[in-house]
Amino acid sequence: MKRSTFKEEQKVTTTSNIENMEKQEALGIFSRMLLIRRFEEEAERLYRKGLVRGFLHTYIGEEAIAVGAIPILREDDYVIGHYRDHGHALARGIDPKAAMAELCGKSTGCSGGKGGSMHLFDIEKHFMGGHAIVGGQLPLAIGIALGVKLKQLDSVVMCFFGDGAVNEGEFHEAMNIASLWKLPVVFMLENNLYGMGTDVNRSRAGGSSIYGAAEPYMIPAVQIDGMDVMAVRETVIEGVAKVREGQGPVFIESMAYRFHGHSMADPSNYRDNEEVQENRTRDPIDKFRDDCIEAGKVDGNDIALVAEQIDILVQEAREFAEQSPEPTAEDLYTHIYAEPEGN
Amino acid sequence: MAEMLLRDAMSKALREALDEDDRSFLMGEDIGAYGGAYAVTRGFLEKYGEERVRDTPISESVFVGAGIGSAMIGMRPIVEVMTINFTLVAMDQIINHAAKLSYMSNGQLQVPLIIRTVTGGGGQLAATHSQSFENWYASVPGLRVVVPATPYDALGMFRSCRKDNNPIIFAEHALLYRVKGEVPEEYYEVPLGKARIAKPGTDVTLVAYSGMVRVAEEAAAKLEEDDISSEVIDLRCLSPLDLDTVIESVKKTNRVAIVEETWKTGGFSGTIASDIQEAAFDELDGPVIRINGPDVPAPYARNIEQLMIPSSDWVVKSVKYNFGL
Amino acid sequence: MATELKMPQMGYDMEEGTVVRWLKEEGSTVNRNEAVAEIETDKAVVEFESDSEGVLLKIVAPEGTIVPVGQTIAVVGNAGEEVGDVSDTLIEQTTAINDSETEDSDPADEPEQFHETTEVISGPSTGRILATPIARRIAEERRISLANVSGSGPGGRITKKDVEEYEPDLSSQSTSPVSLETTIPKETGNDSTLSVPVTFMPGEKQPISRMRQQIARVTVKSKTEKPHFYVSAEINMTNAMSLRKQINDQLKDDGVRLTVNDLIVKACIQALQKYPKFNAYYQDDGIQYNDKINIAVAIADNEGLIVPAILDCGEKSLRQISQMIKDLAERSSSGTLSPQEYTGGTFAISNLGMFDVSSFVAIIHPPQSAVLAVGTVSEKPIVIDGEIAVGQIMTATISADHRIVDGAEGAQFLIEVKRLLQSPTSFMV
Repeated sequence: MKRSTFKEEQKVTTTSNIENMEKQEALGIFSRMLLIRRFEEEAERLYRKGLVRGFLHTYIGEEAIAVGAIPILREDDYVIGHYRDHGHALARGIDPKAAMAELCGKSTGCSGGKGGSMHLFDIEKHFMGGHAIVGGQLPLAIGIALGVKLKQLDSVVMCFFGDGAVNEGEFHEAMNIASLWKLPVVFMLENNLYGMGTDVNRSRAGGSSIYGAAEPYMIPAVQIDGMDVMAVRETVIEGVAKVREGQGPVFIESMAYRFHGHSMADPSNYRDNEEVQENRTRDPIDKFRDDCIEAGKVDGNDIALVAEQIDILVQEAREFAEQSPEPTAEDLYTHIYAEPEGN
Repeated sequence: MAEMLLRDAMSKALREALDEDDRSFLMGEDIGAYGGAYAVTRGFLEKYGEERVRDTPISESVFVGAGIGSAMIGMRPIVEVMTINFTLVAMDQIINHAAKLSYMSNGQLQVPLIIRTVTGGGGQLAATHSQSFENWYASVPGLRVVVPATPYDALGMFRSCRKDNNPIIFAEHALLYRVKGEVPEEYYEVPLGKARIAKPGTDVTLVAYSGMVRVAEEAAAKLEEDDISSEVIDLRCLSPLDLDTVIESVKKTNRVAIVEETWKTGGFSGTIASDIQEAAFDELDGPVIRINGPDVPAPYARNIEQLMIPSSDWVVKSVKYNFGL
Repeated sequence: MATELKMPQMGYDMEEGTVVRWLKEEGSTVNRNEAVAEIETDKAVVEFESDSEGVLLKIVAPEGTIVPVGQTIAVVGNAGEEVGDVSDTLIEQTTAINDSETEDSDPADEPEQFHETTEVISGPSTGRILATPIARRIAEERRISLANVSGSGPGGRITKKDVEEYEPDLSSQSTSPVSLETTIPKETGNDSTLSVPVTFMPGEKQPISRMRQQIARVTVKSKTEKPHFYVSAEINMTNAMSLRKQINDQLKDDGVRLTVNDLIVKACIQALQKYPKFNAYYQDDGIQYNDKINIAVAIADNEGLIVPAILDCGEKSLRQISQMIKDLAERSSSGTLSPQEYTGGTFAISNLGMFDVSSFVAIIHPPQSAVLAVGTVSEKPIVIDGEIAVGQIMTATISADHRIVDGAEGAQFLIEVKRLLQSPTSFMV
């Protein structure tokens, strides 16, 4: 890691600050990560059974980023991201039932069954969507931030994107204008080292470390271990505060690794098994659990109890999704256009 | 009633937006310090300030996207893309995002964004700067496409656009800015999706929009000299499209020609022609005629540039020939 | 000059016909309206008559050939006249239309792209009649065969205007028959046994039959376009009735039974010869005097009304007329009237005498210019030379198109009919 703090002097983030954490808070972080993990595993099962169709991109292995970052935000802040969006949505507090129902194409889904896995929305929770055109959410984040600024609010906009998006023109346009207009954006780069199947070293001049791309735009940028939830938390707390002060955007590159393929269709031929196995030993959930136990914050019983509750939540979500009705033929034609103002 | 240039009608429309609605702001290339490439926003920066009259970098994708994003949280942005040719750079934002968000979010999101842009050829700006793409956008569900032909409609429809909660392509024809027309002092609106009978007639219906309305009107005057009475319909909007007015007219005249500036292949005239024959096949006393620009890039040289833009003589000949009039 | 005989349109849905048999050989003399071949359609074999006279110069379509409607099957002309290779030119006919169009639309000063927008859709490939959709619709409504209509549109396409302005050409009708199979009522009631065809539920909306639609359209058109005026007169039929009885008694064994209507028809024919305007058609560019007198007789049936005509009856005797009317009624019942009988009337008579009505006025049947409406013949007191007597009186009312005749002429015509009927010997015997 090159740099993990926005402060001038280098500081290595450690897990030692777990010691300052309450038990409930630690269990909260653990349970959020585990919820995402179990939700994704169930989604994959449903995909194999044919209940989830289309594209399914799971967040397994990257849970620490969403869980480390999103709960830091206030309710009036905004989250917008890419198509690997289940983790972000759950971390933002979207009901797992509504999310699972959306994956199953049911009318009770958080997008009414019209968006699917890649397009989860919950505007009440300021979750502004998963967006499936690589890089396309970046200009939208700029716009939300501009709206915040024009409304003279102090909300921040957290925008997730992957290493693939960095090579889109929209990324550079967004960096420039965010910096130029000092917009309240936290750019959250999830660098999982592969743009679909292409190694970032083969797609980007300068190699796998990307945060330097923000520097020409005068945006403060750091790189952190995205598999360390406490590191993510600490950096995001700092970054969000900076943005909220009105000093313009920050850029956080979280180094990550997705344990499964790009999507369900991906045989992962482009990564060797050794690399995958090695990264799996760095499982962010296991690491946090072990650190917590080591720090004496939680014990095996606590963990087992949480795991049991999460299993129930996910099974309820599955049952809800399975039992929910499909959209009607009329729904095909609703919400293509908005109602006129005043209606 | 006061006469007004279309440019001034647009200026008035934009001033109203800024005066009446705190949520509205303008954003685009050279709209502030420069005063707008077509001088529509001259003097705006001084009056409304940089926050509400935002000069942008030449980054169409991101400033159109910024319009969408701000609309997603309740602003009512008016984004200017200097010409419709440059909207292609922002097409991902317009089509994959603006047009989809309401639907994909199942109505949770609305995108009340007006994208003003300048369309049309005839100014010897050559192939990349002389195009008309309204028809492309009109084929995308979720977008509205407004194509005024007169100062009255430009102002009146812009007022309606401000009340609409959808992404709108508001395409102003470059050669119409200097066109004068009557614009009443008192407030009025022109609803979206209601075509205008620019001139009533009985023998043939000429359907046009934007810059081609004037061509159709000229053609109608020439046909009148030969006792051929044309009904000229200005579509005003391509989406929503007022097909009813067209069909009513075709039922009366039994003959119809559609005049459109852009290329014939894929032109919106094809959609209209198809709709007409489906809805009124037994009313037709001849083929539905499409008078479009030919499928060539716009050249620079004036003489050949003029050959690719439908003219009134062209319309007259085509009508007489095809209908045996 | 050689004339091409073309495959006739004998049904709205007929696209082609088969030449079954030639009744004439090449080189033989052909009279006008003489049958020259037998043509088979989907529905029947019919005789095909030549519409010009001369020598059958060439048989283009041999027996057994299937020929699209409108294409030449033979050529008639003067003996020895040169005939080109007709069959070849015919085959190329459709492409030739396109070629000539392209030439027409090739103004050198126009940009090349102009052609793209002005190109006419390619012409018929199988001799199909070119007509616009609305022209086809109107033709169907008005029972006009498009084969009879000449097209003024590009490539000879028949337009709405062509159909609307179409007037049946009686002189050539025999060779270009209109086919009405689908619209001919199958059961045409005898005019004295009119029954009301009603099976409806109160409050129900009945669909409008084709015939009803046709009547509605024709009557509205007539009353809209034709300024009607009416002249009525009482006609003393005493002499006519008595003469009729005598004739019927005398010729009973010959099967003759004259009706009152026969007498009226005959009187009208003579009056029309004296006042030919009542036998003419009003057209925008002039008054078309018909060279024949075709008296149309309104016949009511269960579905509505038809007005078929006895054709070319100007020189016919009363007995012949009687026979023709009887024949017309019979064939109207059996649905075997010819198309020209349906549409060829030049003057019409509507007789409601069997209903015991004293008088009524009728609507003119376009393109005719007049119709005579007659009520029943009933005994009434009349005054002759100051004495009251019993007379057999009938009221007749002429409806006439004011564009072609005026009131005084209407009166003259009607009085002529009256004169003839009141002194019937002159024309009955």
